[in-house]
Amino acid sequence: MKKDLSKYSDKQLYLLVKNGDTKQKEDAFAELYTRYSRGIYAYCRRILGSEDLAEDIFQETFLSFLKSTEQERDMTNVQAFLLRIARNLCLNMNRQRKTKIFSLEDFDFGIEDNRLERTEISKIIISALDLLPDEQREAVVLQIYYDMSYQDMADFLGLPLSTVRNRVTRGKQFIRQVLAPYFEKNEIKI
Amino acid sequence: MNTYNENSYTDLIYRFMDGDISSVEQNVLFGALAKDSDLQMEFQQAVTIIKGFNADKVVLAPPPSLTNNLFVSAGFNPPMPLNTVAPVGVISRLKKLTTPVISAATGALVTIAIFLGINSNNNGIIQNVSNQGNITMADSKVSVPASAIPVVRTSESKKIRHSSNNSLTLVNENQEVGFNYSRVFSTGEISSNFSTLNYCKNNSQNSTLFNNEELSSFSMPDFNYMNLEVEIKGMTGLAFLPSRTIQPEPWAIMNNIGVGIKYKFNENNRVGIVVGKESLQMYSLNKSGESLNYQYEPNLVWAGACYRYTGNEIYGAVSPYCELTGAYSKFGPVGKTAIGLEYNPENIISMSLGVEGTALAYKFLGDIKTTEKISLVYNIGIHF
Repeated sequence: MKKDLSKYSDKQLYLLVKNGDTKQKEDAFAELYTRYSRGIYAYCRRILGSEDLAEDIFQETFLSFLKSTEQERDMTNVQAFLLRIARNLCLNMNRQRKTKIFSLEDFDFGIEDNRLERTEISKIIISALDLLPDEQREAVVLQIYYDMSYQDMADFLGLPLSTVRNRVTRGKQFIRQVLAPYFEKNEIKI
Repeated sequence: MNTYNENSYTDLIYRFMDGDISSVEQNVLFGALAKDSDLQMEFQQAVTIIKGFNADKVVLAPPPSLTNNLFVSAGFNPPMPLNTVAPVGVISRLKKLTTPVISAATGALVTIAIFLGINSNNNGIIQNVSNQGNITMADSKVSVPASAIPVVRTSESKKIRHSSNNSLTLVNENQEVGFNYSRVFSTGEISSNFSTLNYCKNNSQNSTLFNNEELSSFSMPDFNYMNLEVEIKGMTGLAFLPSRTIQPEPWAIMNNIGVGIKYKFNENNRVGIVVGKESLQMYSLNKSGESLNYQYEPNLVWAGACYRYTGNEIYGAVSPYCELTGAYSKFGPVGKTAIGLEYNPENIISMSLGVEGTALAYKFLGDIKTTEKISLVYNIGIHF
């Protein structure tokens, strides 16, 4: 009878991936994937912007995670570990890519992504997110898509709480300023 | 005491939304919001941005193909193999068929019941009368009173044709409009005291035989007299354009069905009016009007005119057809094109199955947008 792995802790699942037989390893990995794949995918998509790159990094993140289970390691926080792998891969990718200078003329309201549905406003907001400086974008993404508190972000990024808070707030302010003409044009109200 | 400037209020707005604000700061923010309309607008826009992010977050998930690739790369079985994805889609589509199929089946049953009811009504009249009439029925060997026979509305131009095989046919001028009565009547069994029929037998064919009073003593309902067809049809969406992965189609009563009435010019051409209700994927504003959605609109009611061309029979009573529909809905004009096969076994009931393309043009935030759908359509019609 198949065990209900949803009741297992992350650490238990990690140990199953590390030490279990093939079936246990696969099931435990699938459970961890179910728990964290959305967050990691969202992080990669919104940090990198490019769907193709994000998918590559997403895949590499989980494969690196699997590879890491072959090493001796005291795993305390699987979620943070996965995010850290993804973050490092994204940073490397961004370094390899030529720096893109955004201007408001680059701001494309018509960006299409047929595979993922989103509202019109969401698409515009995501476009504005791409205009943010990397630090602010990462802070906003971690908060919005990864449900991190300021304190969690500060711990994860190794930054003071006030710095993290400032990045999130400035990032959202910037997005609002970019979108202000659109809001006024469409008279969007609550 | 703290003093707050414009930037501080902006910070407070975002910290308030993040739940990172003290009660004192909250009071300060609310006090400022009550007085400052610009700050109110900033607050509204900040809320919209957060909602937009959350809407994006909900739909942002690794696609199944990526998940499969990852698992295969890791040496595991793909969790969503392609050969299991398809049946899920099929089941999902079959589930979607339920309502329209039930609707169409109900329409068919009602149609058949009406048809059988009319026939049984006729038979009942014939079988339940006593020997006091003046027409002998060949099948039942009972006589019926003239008043018990259903009456066809007729005119002086209606005639009785007595054919060589002892059958009688009601004709209208030079065109046959009635039935072959050979199953019911035969001259040998017609009572001799029914002078009217004897008169018919002894006179030339197609001559005017009866006045209205006489004719009312033997007549049958004329189904094809009006050349009308009433139809009910079901529509099941197979594909939508633009292609998006969105929330499943919500259930709505009497959805994805249509009814119409058509006039049959001849065997090939019909025109009529149709009314339908179906789901299409559209942009819409939410109730508060601050965010846009792309989702199913299940209450798209349209009404319009249609034309159907039915070709010659290609196999048995099966004929190809194509149908064009132009309609209007509360959102905008609707156009439909369908092709398929029509089965018309008795010239009373027809059934058809085809593929239909639907396009709706609608105005949204100042732009003209279109949405398209390809559907499986199935009609059942009764001809009068």
